[in-house]
Amino acid sequence: MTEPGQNTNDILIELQGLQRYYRGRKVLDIDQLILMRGHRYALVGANGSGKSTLLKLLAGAIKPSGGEIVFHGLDGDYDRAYLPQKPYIFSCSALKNVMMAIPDKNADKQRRRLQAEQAMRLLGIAELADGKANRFSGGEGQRLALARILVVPHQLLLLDEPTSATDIAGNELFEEALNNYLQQTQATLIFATHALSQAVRLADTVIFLDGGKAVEQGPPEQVLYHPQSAGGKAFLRFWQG
Amino acid sequence: MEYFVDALKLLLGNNGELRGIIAVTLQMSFFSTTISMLIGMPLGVLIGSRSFVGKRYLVRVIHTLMGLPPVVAGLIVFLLLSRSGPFGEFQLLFSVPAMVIAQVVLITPIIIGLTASITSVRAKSLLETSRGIGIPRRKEIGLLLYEARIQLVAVMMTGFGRAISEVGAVQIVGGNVQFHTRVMTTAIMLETNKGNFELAVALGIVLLLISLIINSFAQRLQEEPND
Repeated sequence: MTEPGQNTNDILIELQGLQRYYRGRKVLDIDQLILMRGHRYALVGANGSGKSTLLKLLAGAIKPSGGEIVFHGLDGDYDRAYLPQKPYIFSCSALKNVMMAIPDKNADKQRRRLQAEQAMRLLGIAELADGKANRFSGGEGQRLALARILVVPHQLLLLDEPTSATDIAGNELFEEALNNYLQQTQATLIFATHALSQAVRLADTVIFLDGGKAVEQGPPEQVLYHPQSAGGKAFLRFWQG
Repeated sequence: MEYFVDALKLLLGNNGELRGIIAVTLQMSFFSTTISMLIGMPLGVLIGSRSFVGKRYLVRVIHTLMGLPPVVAGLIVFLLLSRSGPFGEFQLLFSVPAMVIAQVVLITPIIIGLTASITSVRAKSLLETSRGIGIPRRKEIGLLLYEARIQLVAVMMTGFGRAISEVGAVQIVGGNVQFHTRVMTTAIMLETNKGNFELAVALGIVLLLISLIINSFAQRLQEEPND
């Protein structure tokens, strides 16, 4: 469903009757969901509510068991980027890790290197550029994985708990870099998070998932502070946002 | 001890037959391991990293073939290459290429099985990440092989170890022909049966030395990234 005042031309993704089963258990069941171009969506919900499954389906990492996902105007390899919950860090230098995310068709090596260094600088890991990336700490590895995502302009960013391992300074750098990136690229952001305060800061729309269903959708202050569903009330009762 | 001293004298001397046996053994082991790696590693990566119908059964077959008795492999290759067999016209029986073929039959399932097992551990996370940042799919196999390179050295050593120490299959298809298809293992068997223990012990020492050198080299390759 499009919200009042929204143009159907701005629709980026439509989900219709989307279902996903895992070992015979239904883990995602969304009747209809429309995601608009240029918006920032936070997926919120308890463990096992379907956040990661939805992101994987949107990323094409897994296939739906039923229903369909329609993307409008997304077809190239680099149109969407996906950051899994546990990103793989390649066993080369950190700089090479980031350079691997830059398409090598049109850019010369020196330019790609500068581009990668800039992304690493934004996430506060420039001094680790020559370090063996697979020896990084969890937080450093996550920042590196974020640099790989933000080094190239994409139309759609799918981030699964992007700062679950980073410290407060890392979170701040990430949010600042992400905000700048989104302003420059006008990309659509969909991220799963357990950090509800981050959802308030980064998202303009929160989608609350409960038992694989999208039970609430709206501005953060509405969904997180005044949940309507029983699941939302139960989930948020301990949060003092 | 007496045999050991005699064996050392033999090794340090100028024994043409001994040198020939060592050369044939290394040649056969090198080619059979290389061919098995070239076939087995890409297949192992594909099986380890992809989901497809019947994968479980295929893996079961590969695991069964990993324990294929060498004499059975030798017998199969013998029947295929014998004069009345489907490949008899190539006249490969009792030649080094026949021994290489028999060893490839033996070693390839081992390489496939171990490679699949190694790559399956990291494939899910690696493929999710690489697709997530737009790395083209044609580069995935190479990327998986590169990331598993340290463990794949151990796979290669396992293959080489099997090749150099194998006796049943090469005896059947090679025929243990002097100066032609005699390798260290078949020679040790023959010389022991003849009571010529000096040559048998000398060959045993060389076999162990080669194994030690190859394993030291492999260990160095595996340790280098962590020093």
